[in-house]
Amino acid sequence: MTENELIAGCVRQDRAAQEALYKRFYGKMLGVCMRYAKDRDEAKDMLQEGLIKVFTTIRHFAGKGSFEGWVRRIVVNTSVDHLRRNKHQYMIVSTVYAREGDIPDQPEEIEEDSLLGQLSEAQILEVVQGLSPAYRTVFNLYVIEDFSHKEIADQLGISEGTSKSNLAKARFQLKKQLYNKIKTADEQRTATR
Amino acid sequence: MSNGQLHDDKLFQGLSDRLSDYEAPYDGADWDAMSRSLDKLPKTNQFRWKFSLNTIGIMLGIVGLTVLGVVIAQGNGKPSTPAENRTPNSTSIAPENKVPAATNTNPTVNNTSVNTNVVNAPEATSVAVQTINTRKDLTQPRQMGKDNNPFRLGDQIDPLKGFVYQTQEDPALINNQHDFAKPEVYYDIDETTGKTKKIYIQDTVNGVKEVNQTDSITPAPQSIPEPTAPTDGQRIGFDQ
Repeated sequence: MTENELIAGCVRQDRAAQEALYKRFYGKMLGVCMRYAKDRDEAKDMLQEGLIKVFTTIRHFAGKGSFEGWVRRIVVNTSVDHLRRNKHQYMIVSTVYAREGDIPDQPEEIEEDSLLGQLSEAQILEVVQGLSPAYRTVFNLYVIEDFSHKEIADQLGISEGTSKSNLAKARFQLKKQLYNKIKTADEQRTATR
Repeated sequence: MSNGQLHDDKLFQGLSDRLSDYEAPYDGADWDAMSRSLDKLPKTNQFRWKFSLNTIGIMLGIVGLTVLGVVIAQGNGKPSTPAENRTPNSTSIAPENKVPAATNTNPTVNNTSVNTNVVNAPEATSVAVQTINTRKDLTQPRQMGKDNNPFRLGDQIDPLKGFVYQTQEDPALINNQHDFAKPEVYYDIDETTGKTKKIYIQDTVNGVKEVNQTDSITPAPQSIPEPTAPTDGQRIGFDQ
């Protein structure tokens, strides 16, 4: 089934077309949601909410540009909205994280290039999910979605300074957690030998 | 959307490369949950809105037309009401002889010159004016199909009596009408001889006039000369 046939079927609310579209975009979009969520369950909630929006608004897709890009944008916006709705809950955690992460331990001896090569995508994703929601959201929007700080500030309703600060703290946290991950993995490998 | 700074940060660039195309493994149970969520959605949401908008539009149209009709109907009925109030004592005078002359108690003075003769005539049984409250008594057909407004071109507005209608009757016909209950020619008969004694002729201009039996009606003089017989060699006609 081609993409246009899928879209036409979804506009007609054909269940088979909806299932085909769901399966086609499930993996990629769940991967997007998992970067914004703290775990897989929350990511699934975001994905379901986002794909329902896709199904209910698919008749508005003008056909200009990539359909996958259109779906991805909806899923990202839904994930950010999900985090903003739970802002009160996350703000408390974010404050604690921020205090702990104000002076991160700088693993100076580790080269940044070699950090990621020793880890799988799932392990890297776990590290990203370990960030506070505020850091994680800014990191995702800036690094993965390629937003500018001004766009992030507009999207999240914060100042550009806050966006830059959160990104810098997220970087320190990521570097530290990636180092710890590698260190733990090495210790496990050594123990198994 | 490009911040243009990722290439300066090897850590962020590496994270972007590794996570951008990450695909999570498929879980078949998730589609069941999604399918249930889709079942709960209203399938005809769009058409329901369309239907409701159309319904609202049609209802508004019906209400608007109804209100417009009521307003038009009330607008046609309004002019008669103040006219009636301004001429409460106006007399209903029929334009035809079928109505007795006794009903002609209050002839309208403010009339056109066409109707003046009729008003001044003491025995006139017809008056060519009437006020608006007598409009319904007219036998003249109204143009109900075209226009419900009772006013026509030529209708007058009297500051005291309100709207005054000018009838469409021919005044010459009114003057020539005869009241057979009161003949215009009277005569007395001598009971002994059985012959006519006196003859009276009633004229609307000169009143009652006595005419003798010996009076003869002289014929009108002939204005056309008697034709003469043509003679030989004499031309007649336009050359004369």
